[in-house]
Amino acid sequence: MQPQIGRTFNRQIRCFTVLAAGCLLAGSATGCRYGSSGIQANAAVAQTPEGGVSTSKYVLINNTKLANGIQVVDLRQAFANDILQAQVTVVSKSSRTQNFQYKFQWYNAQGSEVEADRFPWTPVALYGFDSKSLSATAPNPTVREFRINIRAL
Amino acid sequence: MDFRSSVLPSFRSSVLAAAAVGGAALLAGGCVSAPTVAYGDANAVQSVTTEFSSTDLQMIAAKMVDSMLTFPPVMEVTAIRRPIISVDRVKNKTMQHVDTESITDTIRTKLLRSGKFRFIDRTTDDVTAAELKAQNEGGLTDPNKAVAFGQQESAEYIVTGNFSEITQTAGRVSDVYYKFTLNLKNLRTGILEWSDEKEIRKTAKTSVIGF
Repeated sequence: MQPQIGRTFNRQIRCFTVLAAGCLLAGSATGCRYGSSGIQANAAVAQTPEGGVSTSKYVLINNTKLANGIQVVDLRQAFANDILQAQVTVVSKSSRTQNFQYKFQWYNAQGSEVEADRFPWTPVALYGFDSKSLSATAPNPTVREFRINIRAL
Repeated sequence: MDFRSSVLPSFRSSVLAAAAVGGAALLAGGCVSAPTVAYGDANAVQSVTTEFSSTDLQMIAAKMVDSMLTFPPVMEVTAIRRPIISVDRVKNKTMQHVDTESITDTIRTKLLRSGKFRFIDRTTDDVTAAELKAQNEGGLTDPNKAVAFGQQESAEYIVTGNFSEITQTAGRVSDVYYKFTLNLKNLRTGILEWSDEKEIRKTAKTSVIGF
């Protein structure tokens, strides 16, 4: 009697473990939130008011599925007097409407983030095979570089 | 000796006892549990209803500030000096209670922090007048060090605006369109130097199965 009960119990535990592992794997594959990040387009270059050159090139997309669905085709920056204006053009590679959010981050000449945590995530809908320009203006004249963060809704 | 006959009955009865105690505790407590509270991100998108939300406020403020900072005639003025602006109220023409002063407060804060503009605040005039009166006539402070009346700067521009909505509801679908308009008027010439508007559309669809 004893060995039989023990064996059934062991089998039940094993089945449960396999099921749980399977669910975890499936969940992580479809709901993967932290995917690729990096440079997908040419860098934006502009001449600063004091004569130097500033470069912005970072596009962070934190969802693999979204990173495969959109493509950043252009990064531009220009100084209006001494305020940096940033523009990022994204193109949809999918036929479905994609909803995502973006946020610009601004860095000064020393590389520290300026006015951190004061910029909200802006929701945007990109229709099938459409292109959109995401643009923003720096908060103050000390900004020399921008980065854009894109995340799925 | 048999596992099933010796251990299982006592195990079953102990489980039943635990369940009885737990059930009694729940009933005694009235099935009340404290809500789980957690801090959220103030910059996250708020889309619970189609009413005016924090994200709408942030989007409006961002667009208005970006636009005012980079409009060429305004940039010509700000390249030389920092103009003085007074922020007047924004008319709420919607059917909701919207605190439009909080929108203009956000816009004013961002513009001020850009370093390109200076602002005067009319809402604290009575407090200022009381303070100056106390300094000059109160007798407690040195009159030579007191701030005299009639020295404050005057505004050169005034900011006003309108906030309106257009709502359409049909069955389970409701569509709200907001439009926020902001104007910058030159007080000396009366000319509108800058104006911009932000449009927002929010749709809500109620599902068939729901309470």
